[in-house]
Amino acid sequence: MLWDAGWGLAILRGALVTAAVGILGMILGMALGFTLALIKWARVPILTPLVDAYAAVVRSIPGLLIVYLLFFGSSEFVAGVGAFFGYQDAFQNAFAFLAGVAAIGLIAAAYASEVFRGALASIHKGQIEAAFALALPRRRLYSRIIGPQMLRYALPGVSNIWQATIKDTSLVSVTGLAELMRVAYVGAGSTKQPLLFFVIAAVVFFAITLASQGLFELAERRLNRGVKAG
Amino acid sequence: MDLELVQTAVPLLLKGLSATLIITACGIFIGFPLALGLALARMSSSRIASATARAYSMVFRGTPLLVQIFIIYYGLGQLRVLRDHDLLWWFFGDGLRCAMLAMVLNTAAYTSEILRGGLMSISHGELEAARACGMSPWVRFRRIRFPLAIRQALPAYGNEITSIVKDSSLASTITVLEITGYAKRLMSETFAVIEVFTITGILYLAINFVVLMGMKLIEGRLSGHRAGARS
Amino acid sequence: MSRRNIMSLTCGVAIAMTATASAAADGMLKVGTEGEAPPFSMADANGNVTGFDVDVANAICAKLKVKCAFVLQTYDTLIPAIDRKRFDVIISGLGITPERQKKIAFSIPYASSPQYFIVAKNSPLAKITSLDAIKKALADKTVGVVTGTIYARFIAKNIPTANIKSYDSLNQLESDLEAKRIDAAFDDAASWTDFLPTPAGADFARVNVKVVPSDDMTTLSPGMAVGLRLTDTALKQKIDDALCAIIKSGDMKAMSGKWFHDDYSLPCN
Repeated sequence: MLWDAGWGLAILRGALVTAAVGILGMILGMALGFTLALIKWARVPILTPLVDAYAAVVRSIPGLLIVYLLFFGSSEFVAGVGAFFGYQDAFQNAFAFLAGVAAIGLIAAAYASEVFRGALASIHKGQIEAAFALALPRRRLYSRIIGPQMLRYALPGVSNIWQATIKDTSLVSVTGLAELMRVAYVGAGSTKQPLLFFVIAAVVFFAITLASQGLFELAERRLNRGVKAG
Repeated sequence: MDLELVQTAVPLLLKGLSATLIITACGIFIGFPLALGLALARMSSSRIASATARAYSMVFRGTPLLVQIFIIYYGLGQLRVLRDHDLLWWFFGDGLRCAMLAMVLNTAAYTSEILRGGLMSISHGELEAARACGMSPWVRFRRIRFPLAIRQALPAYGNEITSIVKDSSLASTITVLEITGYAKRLMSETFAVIEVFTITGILYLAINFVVLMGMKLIEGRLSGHRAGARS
Repeated sequence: MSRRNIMSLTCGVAIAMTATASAAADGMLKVGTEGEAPPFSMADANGNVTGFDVDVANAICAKLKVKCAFVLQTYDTLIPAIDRKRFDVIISGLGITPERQKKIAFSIPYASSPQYFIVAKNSPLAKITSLDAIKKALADKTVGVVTGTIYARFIAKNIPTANIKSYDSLNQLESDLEAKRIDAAFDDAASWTDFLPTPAGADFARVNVKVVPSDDMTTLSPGMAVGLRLTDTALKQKIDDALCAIIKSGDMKAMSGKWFHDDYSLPCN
């Protein structure tokens, strides 16, 4: 019945857009969050309080407002997000999409900065000192010593951020972007069957979060291979 | 920024403060007991209780709050059964009450996980000592498990409360006139989107600042005796 | 690096799925419209829009010899978004008001319909016949409107004590009207023409009080027009000419008849 009018396909497409916003937003958030975490960890003089302020502000205001502000606000910032992913002129065409990714990314970065900082702080100082003593080049230090261990400590936190991020994508629906929530909303309005559409949307989100949880647990087990308990 | 706009905006937005606080209060004072019940059910020896609590937690934490709100307001609003029943419709017909319900159900799931973590963190030794003292399960819960769990869970629950305050803004999508609802109305009349939403953001910042200060106070009072030993 | 390529690819695919076509200086006109306000604009599962506003837009585009590309957004975000270049014009049953004129430019008005209150058929409100009486009767009731419309302003100004519920779209307003969450709804005749014949609208009726712009010149509008950026004076001229041609040729009247079963077109002088 609902496949006839093409709603089934629309929901599928909406789910893909949701996943795209979530994944790209997460990548942006992790990249930005890691940079911010490094600043906090290294206690860079002027930047550290700024980073703390940023994280505090973004974590205290509703995601809905951040989405609105980015959608109606600076086009330059969103163009910058497009450029980050390699798309110079895209922003005119897909502003709602990029604004959504930017909003999701900014929110994720605020939480990620704390998760990564905690993970970096958990690495035994002695290991870093040993690396210096062995005159390991900076790149090796990060890729062989700090990176893998930080990843392991950060993984549970990152998993939580991902779960929150994929659900936050539903907020981007207010910009009119044709992601899952918006498709469900328009479909519910057109066919006057809100229960059906919103329950389907809920089921799809649930499937995504469930699958993500499984994947993260697998990753955790893999990263913890060979690590003695306790 | 236009000073005139700020002068008209702030009183209007503050009109929404009562709705925001009502939703938040529901989330805290009804959600917390519900969460406690869920956490205990999850840890109980009854498989049905444990499985039900686990399923509840997974469903409400695995779907966005926005979807939950829409299902309760628009989805259930579609059902004739509810519409024809006077009492039920008094509840489900109103946007604010639907938002309160959605918030309670949602925060109970997250809080139950926090409380479960708190309850599980109590060392076995302390429980054994309590049993050795002859405390009944209820007294054990009241004097040992609950206070220790609360103290452990407090920082995480503080974060959860700020989430509740932020999530209350979603009620604006179902016509509730809380702060964000008034902000949208103001925006559609003045078209000053950035200014209106910046002022709104500052308002939420202020509320969450008060919440965090409150949590710090409570944390200080509960952990006063540990002040020196805190890591 | 291949990882960058993968990210770009994902981004590109997503953009391709969600993007509206790019507006070159000539060849394409991006039109902002609601998409959730039958019979003005309705979106189907694929995002294709139909409705009166869509037909008007396509007629204008044909006259301007460009293609129309539609961008759908909620009504109350249309005006704030036009400055940000999301689209070039707004064609969404947009009324002309002094506040809006400070922000955007308008074309000549092309259509106008009176406004009506909608109530349940068996409600005592259904029998009211004067504007003053209905204002008094609704003073303590719940009235539904769409956020950002002139109808919302009208109710806010003239029945300030009523419990006003604002909805993001006409579809939502109709849903809640049907669910009896509101006692009355206020919108233009064109919207109700579409709602009342539907099975959902069967229990509702128009209150026999025709509200026209002269009832409140400060909030109501003499007609609906195309919204443009204040700086697009050349485009406004072109659209005015196109609209005039469409009206004079009788096409506007035909489109009005098709969607509203009535002639709401305005003359072009």
